[in-house]
Amino acid sequence: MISLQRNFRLAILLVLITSVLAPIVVFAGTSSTSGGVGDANCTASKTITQGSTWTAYVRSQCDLGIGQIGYTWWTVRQYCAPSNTYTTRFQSSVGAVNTNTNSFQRSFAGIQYAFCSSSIQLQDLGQHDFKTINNTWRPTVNRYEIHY
Amino acid sequence: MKKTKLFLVAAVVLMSASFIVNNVVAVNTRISEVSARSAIKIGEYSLLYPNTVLYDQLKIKALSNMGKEGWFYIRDHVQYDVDAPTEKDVLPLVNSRSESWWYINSSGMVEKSISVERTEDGQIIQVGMFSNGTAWNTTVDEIIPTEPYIFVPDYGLAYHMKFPDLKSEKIDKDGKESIQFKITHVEKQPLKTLDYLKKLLSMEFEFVFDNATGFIVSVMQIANLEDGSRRVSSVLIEEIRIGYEPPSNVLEYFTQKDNREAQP
Repeated sequence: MISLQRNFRLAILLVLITSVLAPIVVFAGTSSTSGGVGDANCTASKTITQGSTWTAYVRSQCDLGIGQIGYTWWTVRQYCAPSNTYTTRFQSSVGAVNTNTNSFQRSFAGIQYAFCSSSIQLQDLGQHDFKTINNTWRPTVNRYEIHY
Repeated sequence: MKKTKLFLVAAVVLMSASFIVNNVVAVNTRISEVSARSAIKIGEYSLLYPNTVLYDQLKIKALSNMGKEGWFYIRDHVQYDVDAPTEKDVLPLVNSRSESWWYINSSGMVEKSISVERTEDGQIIQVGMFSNGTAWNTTVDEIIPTEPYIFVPDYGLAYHMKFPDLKSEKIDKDGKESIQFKITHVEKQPLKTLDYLKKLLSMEFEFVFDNATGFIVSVMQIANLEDGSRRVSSVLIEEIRIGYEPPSNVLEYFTQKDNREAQP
């Protein structure tokens, strides 16, 4: 009984300490695929981080510089499953690339969560673009995360 | 000297415990809740997790009120106080009114639903629907396999339950006893955002539920910006009805969905 009380007090103390020291928790997740174009080994990835707002990243990376690196299309949106509705925040009308280099990155930070009757799904979607004079690799990589 | 060492060790232990508790609670909330529930007596549990107890009570009330077989209806009004986008291809947040119907079967599961989102002047933005194991949206033409599910209209409060600094209290809202949940997420440093020209310092979230029915009343997101301004975006629940069937012009969208799915 005494041990139970002590444990309970300890638990209360831990909760209090936790509430004082609580850091801002940021959740992050990445989806990626590896491949190559010409002699270069490349990775295409999408990342979502969640905090008070959320951030969507698109990254195309190779170990060697190539002629063209980036994306052909990129969409950032939220899906409210209970109403089957979308809030699209970015929809590329054209692709974006860097030339004669080995990396490309773009992000949208501080995206406000759309109002939804329950939890929402964050979606970071699109096709990457890796191109040399003779070869092209265009993988589609999508990242989905539940805001829950 | 010994005291200083002891203090330092104690501080490190406490900070480590705090870190572990935060992360375990954040990452694995469900498991923590289940094991905690079986391990701790109810009275102690409500002391340790008052927010969870209140949230569970509201959920039970809401589910019991909407649990009879038939249609459940919500009309809500979303208003954003944000700046117009400055970057190409960034789409603005649009104020809207939505009407949504969920058909709840005898097992308490949603087996079909339809939502019509309109601009404030009545123009249809999109219609989303779920029936016969798939969901479809009139603007984003993708067919998504979807299973029947239990619907808890908490408007995203579940996400904030994992944070220890979430506060809850009973308040009077328009003469009704209500439960308010509030939390402020403070940025580590001013954050450039998609929706505001000024940097974001913190974001407040406020959820209000009717304590009698368990139904949501309103949600507010308040952005505190570096120039001292407070930008309030909100969703207000304008109407909730039980047993209100969608009118025929809304039900017609299910036919449109069937036709779309019949296409190769």
